[in-house]
Amino acid sequence: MSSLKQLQRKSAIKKQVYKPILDNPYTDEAHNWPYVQEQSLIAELVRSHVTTVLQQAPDSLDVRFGFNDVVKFLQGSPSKDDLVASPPSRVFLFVCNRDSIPSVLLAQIPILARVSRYEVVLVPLPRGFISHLDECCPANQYHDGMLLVVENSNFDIQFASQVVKRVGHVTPQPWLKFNESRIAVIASEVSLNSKSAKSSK
Amino acid sequence: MSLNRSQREKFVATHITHKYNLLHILPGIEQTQLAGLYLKSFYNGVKRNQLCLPESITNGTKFCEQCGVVHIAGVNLEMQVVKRETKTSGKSGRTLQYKCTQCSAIKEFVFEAAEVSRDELQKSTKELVSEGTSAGKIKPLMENESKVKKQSSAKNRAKKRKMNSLSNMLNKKKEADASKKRSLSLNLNDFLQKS
Repeated sequence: MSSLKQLQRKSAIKKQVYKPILDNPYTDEAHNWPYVQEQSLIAELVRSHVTTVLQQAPDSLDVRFGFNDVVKFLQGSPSKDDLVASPPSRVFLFVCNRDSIPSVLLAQIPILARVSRYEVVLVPLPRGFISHLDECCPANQYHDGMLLVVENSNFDIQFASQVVKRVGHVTPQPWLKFNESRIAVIASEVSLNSKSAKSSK
Repeated sequence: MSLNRSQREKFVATHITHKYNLLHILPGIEQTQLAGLYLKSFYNGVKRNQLCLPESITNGTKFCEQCGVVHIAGVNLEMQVVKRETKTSGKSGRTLQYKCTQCSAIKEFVFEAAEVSRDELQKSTKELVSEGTSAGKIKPLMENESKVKKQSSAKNRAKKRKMNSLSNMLNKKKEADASKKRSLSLNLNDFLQKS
C-alpha cells in the first residue's frame, strides 16, 4: 500500500512544476520547437527523399550526422569564399525530439538553430522516426537523432518547398536578436560623485 | 499585504518572469558581469514562493552554474560529445561537455546512463500498468525514486523493524491472550463451565 501512496505523491509533485515561466512571451520557450502541419506526410517525405536516398547512395547528399558534427557545422560561419560566391545556403535539420534522445542533448539545438548564420529549417520528426535514421547512418557513427542536410544542387527543390511550407518557421525570439536589440550601454563620462565635482568649483 | 489568492498568484508570476527575463537580456547587451547576481536573485524568488522549476532550467543546461549566464550555443557556449570512461562501471559512456566561454567553466552531463535508467523506468511502469500492482513489480520502481522518497521509506522500514522486535511481539501476544480471556469470560458457555 505504501508504494502506491508514494507513486501518487510522486505524480502530485510532478504536477506542481511551475510552467508559466516557459510561456512568457519574451523567452517563449514553450514554442522552441516549430509546429509541423501534416506530420505523417512530412515524415513520409523525409523518409522517401532523404533517408532511403542516403541508404542507397550515401554520398549523394551533403549531410552531417550526430551531435558533434551538426553543432560544429551550425556554429561555424560560412567560409568567406562561400559568402562571395553565394548567399549562406539553407540547411535542413531533422531532429527526432520525441524519441528517447537525452533532453540535455536537445536543449540547446533550437537556440543554436536561431543563432546560426545559416538559415536553418528545423524539422521535428514524429515519434519512432529514429529507426529510419538508424538504417541510413554509417555504422561507426552515432546519429543522436539528428540529421543535417545542406541544400545544394543535388537536393530536390520540390521537396524543400513542401517541407518549408508545412513547418512553422522558428519564431524569432527577442532575446536572441543581438544586433537588433535597442538596449545598449552607453559609455558615460559624467563623474559618479557629483558632489565632489561641485565642491571643487 | 492583503492579497487574495489570484492576486498573489499574478504577482508571483510577474515577479518571477521579470527576474527570468532580466537574465535573458544580459547577453544581448553584452553585460554579463552581474549574471550570477541576477540568477541568485531569481533562484531566491523561486525559493521564497516555493515554486518547483522545470528540470530543464535547474539541471545546468540553461544557465551556467559558475557565472550564471544564459547559455546560448555558439555565442557563449561550446558543446561537444566526448567519450569518457566512467569510474564506477568501467564502461565507456558518452558525455556531453558544456564549456562556458564566459568563465571557462566545464560542465559534464553523462547521458547514456540516464537514458538507460529512464528506459527501465518506462518499462517498469508499463509492466505495472499491464500486470496490475503485484509487489515485485513495484520494488524496482521504488529504487529509482528520489532522495526524499528514500528517506521516508527508510523511516517506514525503521517503524516496521520496531514493530517486529521481540519484546513488541511478546507484548502483542500477551495483549491477544488477555483479550481472549476477557471475551471468553463474557461467553455463556464459559460461564457455565466455570461454574
